[in-house]
Amino acid sequence: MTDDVVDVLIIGAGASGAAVAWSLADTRMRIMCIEQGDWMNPAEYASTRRDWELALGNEYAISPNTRKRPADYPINDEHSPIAVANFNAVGGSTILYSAHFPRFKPSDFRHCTLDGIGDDWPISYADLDPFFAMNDANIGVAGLAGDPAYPYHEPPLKHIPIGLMGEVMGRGFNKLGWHWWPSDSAIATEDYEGREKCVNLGPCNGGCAKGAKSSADVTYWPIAQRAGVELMTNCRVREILVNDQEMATGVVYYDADGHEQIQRAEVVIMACNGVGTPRLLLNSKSTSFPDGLGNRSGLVGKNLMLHPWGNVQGVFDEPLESHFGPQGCCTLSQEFYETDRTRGFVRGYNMQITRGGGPISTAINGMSSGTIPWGQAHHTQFERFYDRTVNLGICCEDLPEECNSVTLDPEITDSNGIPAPKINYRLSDNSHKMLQHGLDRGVEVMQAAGAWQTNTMGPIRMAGWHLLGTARMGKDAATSVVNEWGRSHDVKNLFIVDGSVFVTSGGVNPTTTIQAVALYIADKIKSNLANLFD
Amino acid sequence: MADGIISTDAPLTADQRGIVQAVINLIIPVSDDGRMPSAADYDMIGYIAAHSPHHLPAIANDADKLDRAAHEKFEAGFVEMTFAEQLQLCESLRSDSPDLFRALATDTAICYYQQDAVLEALGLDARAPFPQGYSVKTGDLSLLDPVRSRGPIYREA
Repeated sequence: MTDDVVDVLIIGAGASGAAVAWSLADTRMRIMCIEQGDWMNPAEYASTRRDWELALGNEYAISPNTRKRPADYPINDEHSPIAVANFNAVGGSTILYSAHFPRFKPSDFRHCTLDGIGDDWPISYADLDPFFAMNDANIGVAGLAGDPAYPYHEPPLKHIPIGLMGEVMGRGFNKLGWHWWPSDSAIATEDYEGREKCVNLGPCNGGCAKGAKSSADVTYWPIAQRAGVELMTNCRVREILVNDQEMATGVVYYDADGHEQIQRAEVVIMACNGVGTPRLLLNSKSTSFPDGLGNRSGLVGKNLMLHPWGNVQGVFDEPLESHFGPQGCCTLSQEFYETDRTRGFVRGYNMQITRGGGPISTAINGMSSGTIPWGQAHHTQFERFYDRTVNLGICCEDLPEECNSVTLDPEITDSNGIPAPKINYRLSDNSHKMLQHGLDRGVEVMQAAGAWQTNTMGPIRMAGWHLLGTARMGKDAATSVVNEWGRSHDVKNLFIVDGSVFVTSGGVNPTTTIQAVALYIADKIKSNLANLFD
Repeated sequence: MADGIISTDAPLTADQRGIVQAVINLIIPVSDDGRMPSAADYDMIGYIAAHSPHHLPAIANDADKLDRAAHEKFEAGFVEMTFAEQLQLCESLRSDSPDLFRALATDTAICYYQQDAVLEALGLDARAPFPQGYSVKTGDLSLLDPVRSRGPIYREA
């Protein structure tokens, strides 16, 4: 419908698109969201099956290249030691995220000022603080107030159960005098806003059949739709259109039947994540923007940050009931988060305590590593590992580097023939040192907690969950893609609200900060409606 | 269907099935105390045919390879050997060829650890996690006292 013009067109119905749709709904503007995926059916999620552990590596694999659902697009990540993870559906990657929900800290926005590296954000923790709280309330975040690693905040719901394994690890951290705390978790631990409380199904990362995990499809979208936001699913945007005045006029997309369509809009908001957004901008070439839309800085796709990831597994003598509870949510430690140059690197990392494996993964991993043999000893060895393992993830802050990038693959396309993204990425020397430090400290705390065996792994390839920095925010059009409230420097009715706009990556899972930034930008749009394009 | 013919509904010959069945019993035999059943008590081949049929050609080849080795080293068919001899031969071959029966071992573990008797022997309910879920201890938060007493550790900015 080329003559049908909506006021606001949002591309992508994931974490940030849902938040911005919810926020803008109260303007009574006509708002439409286009999403390449469909609604998910929770009755099909992993936890509804006995072989749920298997489903996590197949239908609910984190890599689109493995999963290959109709909504997925291929990503060439052969030139990266870290493969990209995402999910394409209403709710986006929150369908599969673990819901570990720590915020960025004040120092994350002030790299240059505090550490003399990189750039400061044009906004601060204080600017986002009300939007963190708003997001926590909107979606239902569980946590324990008073974490000394953060400015004081009160999560609206009771903290996640840390279980026996959380206590064992807590004693280990205490023995070393290190920080730890029950992690903020995007999980309804109490009945909340029409959703029933979490019953500890376990594999949150295979979708939450209970609906207790605060994914965007069960939190923001039902409210946004009731408020009048239109959501078109199974529609994939090919490019954003611009006119001679260098204003976005809408998008070209393929509908569910593969037919090319045009949707006009007064304002276009991109919420496609740190890979999808630069891909779409680079695919949107025109006479005015031959290098991609909004790319006069040359920085679209540059400064990709992925959070190099390590894992330390500890095996304990006693049963810890360790595979019960939300898989990715238990406790965290931010003992090594802030810069201490005596460690040999700048910035730091988050330690995320996660639950152990279930029976199938315990057996498969043990058999493939040789620790669980064939024969009668299978049973005795299985019992030494099953229910006795704890995992500790190391989430390393990634520094922005222009050489780490998203470009367009010259050959690979998606099912609609749209050029696929190509990742060029390497770990910096700083990241290598930080990761090794984290793995060593992970072993130390596992041993302090009583583990009789530790196994380390890192950098882990299949861990590119956090896609950040590829359309960075800043006040200078020469060194950034969008301004301090998410508006393209080059196209005045084009906004970006996803992790692409991050100037730095922090050392934590970014979704709460992504949603806070999206709500902040939506608030700026609303407060500047009268002169939005000036 | 003749025993020597491989088809989509009979992907292994009778001889191969016998060998594979014996190998499954080696991978996870009955436990010494009898609490855990043998994987061979279950229809593993049927499970593989239903869920991982692409593994069957390699499994058939490995069965033939194993039987040839049995004749060479023990002058007997694999299924006629004792459990200890079978295990010894498999371990010997797997030390040289780690991929031997790798897919079979994985499929066996996946199927085995979904069985009612197995899950119940591990102290689990024989069901999927949903809808009942599980009970998890809240945890002793007094353990956080030393963390609290240390005070803020983040940098103001």
